[in-house]
Amino acid sequence: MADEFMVDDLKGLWRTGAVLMPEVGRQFGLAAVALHGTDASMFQTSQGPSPLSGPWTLLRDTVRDRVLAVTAERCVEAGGALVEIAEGYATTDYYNAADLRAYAEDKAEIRAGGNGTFRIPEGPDMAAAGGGGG
Amino acid sequence: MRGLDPATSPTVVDSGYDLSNGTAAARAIKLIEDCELTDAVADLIDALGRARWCERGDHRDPEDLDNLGGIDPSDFAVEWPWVGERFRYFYERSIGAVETAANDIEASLDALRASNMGALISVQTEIVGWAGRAKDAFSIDFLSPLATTAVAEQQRLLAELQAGMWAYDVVLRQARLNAFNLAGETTKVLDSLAETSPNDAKIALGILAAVVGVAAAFESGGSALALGLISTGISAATTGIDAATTVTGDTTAEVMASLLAALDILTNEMNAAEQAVATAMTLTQEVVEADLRKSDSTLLPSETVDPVRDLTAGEVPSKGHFRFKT
Repeated sequence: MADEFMVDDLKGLWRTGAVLMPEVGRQFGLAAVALHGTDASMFQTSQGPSPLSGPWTLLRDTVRDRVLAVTAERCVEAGGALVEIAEGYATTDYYNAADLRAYAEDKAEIRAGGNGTFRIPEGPDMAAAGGGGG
Repeated sequence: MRGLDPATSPTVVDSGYDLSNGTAAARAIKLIEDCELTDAVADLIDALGRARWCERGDHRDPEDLDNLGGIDPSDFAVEWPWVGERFRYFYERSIGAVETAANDIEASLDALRASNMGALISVQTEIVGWAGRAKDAFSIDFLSPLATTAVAEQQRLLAELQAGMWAYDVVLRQARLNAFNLAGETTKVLDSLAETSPNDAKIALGILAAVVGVAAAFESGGSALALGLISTGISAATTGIDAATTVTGDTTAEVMASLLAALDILTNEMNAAEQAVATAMTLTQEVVEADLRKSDSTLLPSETVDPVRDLTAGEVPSKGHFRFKT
């Protein structure tokens, strides 16, 4: 099977790692960012915080930071692994390597445009930007 | 021997979660606006003042007070300064902030809908021509669990989080409604004190039953995890869901003592309902923590670690590379 792996497939593998997996990660990142704005003041009363405040906020933070954001990061990291694998395959074949290099350079704007440099916004940054937080 | 790649055709399994049922169940409870409740409390204080004015002199009729210019009925209610403060507890929290939070969670869940996961479908399509152990490691141990399990389970977890917010919304709505009814009915009782047979008013104060109903409206959707609210639910038997009391008395002091007892019951009902939702959230937290500790977490895709070049050599990936599901 492996010897049937053609240069077009190699481009597809590279594109999967460099473009698609960061895009997948971005969706999970968007899901995480959507949870940044919830306002903790909704639990405040004149007699102290609601008993729901601690447990709900902890679960919200866990979902946001340890499930969604981690999934986003792992998708991006997996994409990086695929890029390395594609480049690794290419080094075994001069023509594949040249072709892939040209393809990657042609797609350089994709990587420079954000897909390849995707990062999950941190909570405090969102708060500074007026996104609330908490 | 490891299994074949189960993702033979590109797909992303969606939980199919319909959040509108729970949202509609919560919004079915009439929302008493701040001004409605403050007006009802002001009316109560006026009625209290009128009743007290009548008690201070023989043969006084409440209607006479309305004809005495320059006299504010509420001036005669100063013996009960706690009235406004006690009622404020039931409307001081913003329903709008809670519903904004619920909508944010829905936006989060929408980002994970299969319809928004086109890139994940494309990944499955793009790697068809790639074969070998590194591909298997990526496809079987990372991509397939992500597309067929983790996305849907994360959606359900977000539904649980939103159910918690709507349950809280219901607590606030029902508490406002009960407090509004309590103020209105107590006003009627006070106004009837000058009559030969003063009125009594039986008032429902329960809250948890409404919360149970909303939690039930969020069907679990077959989650693999025992989520506290939408899988397990809240027991209606954990507190006095039919809590009710009668506001009664032959004097303003007796009626106000009765009102104070009712306010205590309503406060306790509100706190108990919030605590029940909090307990469900804590249960979910424990379930999530346990899942995240597992090497084959249901919620998370496997982790990649360096050096990834080991995969390109055609070797069986070490356990750290797209770890095998066990």
